[in-house]
Amino acid sequence: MKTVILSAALAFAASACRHADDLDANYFRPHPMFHVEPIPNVPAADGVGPHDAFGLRGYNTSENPPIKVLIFGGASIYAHGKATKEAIPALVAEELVKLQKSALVGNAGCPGQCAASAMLRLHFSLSAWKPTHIVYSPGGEDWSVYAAQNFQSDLNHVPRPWSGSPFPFEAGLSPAGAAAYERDLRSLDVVARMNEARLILCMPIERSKYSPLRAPILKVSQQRRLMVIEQMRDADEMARAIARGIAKN
Amino acid sequence: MKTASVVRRAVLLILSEIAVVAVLGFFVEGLSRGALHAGLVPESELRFPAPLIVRPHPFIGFSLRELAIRGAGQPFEHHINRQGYRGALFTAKTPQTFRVLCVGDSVVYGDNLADGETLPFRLEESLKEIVKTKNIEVINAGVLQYTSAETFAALALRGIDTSPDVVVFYQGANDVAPRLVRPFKSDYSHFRSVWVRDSEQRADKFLEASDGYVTLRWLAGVYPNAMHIDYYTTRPLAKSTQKERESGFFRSGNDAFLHNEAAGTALARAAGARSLIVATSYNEQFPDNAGFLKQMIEQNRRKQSQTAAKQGANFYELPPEFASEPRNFRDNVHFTADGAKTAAAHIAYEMARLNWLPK
Repeated sequence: MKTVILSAALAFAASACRHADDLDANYFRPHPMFHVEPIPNVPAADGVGPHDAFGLRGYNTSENPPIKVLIFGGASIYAHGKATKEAIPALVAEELVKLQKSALVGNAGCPGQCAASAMLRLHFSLSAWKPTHIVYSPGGEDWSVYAAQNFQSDLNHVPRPWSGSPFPFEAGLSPAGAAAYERDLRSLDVVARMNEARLILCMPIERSKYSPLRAPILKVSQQRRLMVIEQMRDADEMARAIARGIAKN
Repeated sequence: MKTASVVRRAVLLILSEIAVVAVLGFFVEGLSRGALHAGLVPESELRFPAPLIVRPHPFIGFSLRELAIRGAGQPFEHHINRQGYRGALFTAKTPQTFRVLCVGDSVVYGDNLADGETLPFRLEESLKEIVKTKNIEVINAGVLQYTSAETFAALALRGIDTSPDVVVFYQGANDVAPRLVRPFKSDYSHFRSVWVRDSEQRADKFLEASDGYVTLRWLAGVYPNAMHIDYYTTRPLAKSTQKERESGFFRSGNDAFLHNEAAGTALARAAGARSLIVATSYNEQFPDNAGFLKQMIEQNRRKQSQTAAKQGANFYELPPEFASEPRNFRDNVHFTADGAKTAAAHIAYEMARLNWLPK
């Protein structure tokens, strides 16, 4: 009897600890081709969802405006733990309305999504959404993947499944990590252009933890003649900058 | 005093549970050994003779396992180098190197062929006969079971890093099976499974010393299925009728294949490489060719030339007499040693005809 009670107590404790992960497991899952994806067609819950048929957060419309923007990034673009309307893509959509642009903005952020997974997701899945503009906003996921201590250029070091929490061992961006990051951003642009979309890259804030990612982003933007937008701490300001960039581009 | 008594009782409880588990373990071990000895359990289906030739990859799905050997002791023994490719190691590219990357499936990989008989190996030989001024390297980036989706992802994350001058695409046969499954998805997630747990797990290897463990694993149905790549890479698919498969095949179309191939050539071009798309050749004498494979290859062939033209790549078909010669194939699509050599010579001459080779 005591054993049964002890086991039940342990099971309850373990289940309580895993509650947050369980919620995420209903919203994000590993994908065979692009590592991780938001599960399509799920309703909103506390700080996650809803996802439409493409796994985009909060957008489900049959409109077909002239401007269709996909904003890629990790947990911060997805706004994990926040309301849908607080996410930068939602703010960008509002700003585009203010600029009198008829546009649809899709939140293609996903916790755990780095540049490589964004590129593969765009190629395999979201190209069918027919975006005209792609915005890529790097964050903690890119830092965790490309600045990992056990970095391998084909990204085989990335644990699977991975929900997006940073790796325990970050070593800083090595030349190999920077080269792989450039390669994957370049590929993202190749895939965007193949689908007749324009890529806009966001730059991490200077002197922030992620600022070493600036150099490869700048290099790719110069090589491929891409628009670059500085990330800002204020989400509204950043959304305004992205909206202006889209309107210009 | 009371605490000491509780601790003593807890320790006793834990020890008694360990004792029960140990007795059960010994019982299972003894029973399994007896069953093995009596021939009730097939010993060959309990343990891997060698590590599986592929391993999971977080972005590509799967890739060749570094330093793995397939078909050990057989005439067609395959060796994977420590860079994860079949064939010789390659180093950083120098201005004196002309490098060709061959991407695709088991036909490029050279399943059932020795390391010195594969298409890329023979292509290197043929190119070396034509080009004397540069160091010719042909990398075999073919992987068993790769569809165009894995080939694209592998090219993006691995192939481009080899800095090829030319990328040769030879693929399509494995894109048939995903088309037979409904509902078709362009990301192939309806067909491919997420392979998380490698067959070469340390804990598993440690426990494999126990006959009881491997027998229970066999009874659970894990082995011998686990000896096949499909077990890890393909979703357990529901049985379907011929009519359902036909419906799936015609509804899906070959857009996803063409999209993957086009994106691959675009990546190659962005990396400064030329692309040669070689149409998959099939054995016209093989009885299975009335099925989906032949239809898919013919469908692809008609569109691949358009893809090539749009992407600034080149399209090449092996001459008709190659497909009509049964000696070139060991089955419907895989080459024999002679077939690989002849196909490689044709591809090399096509590259020379296009003026792609260094003088």
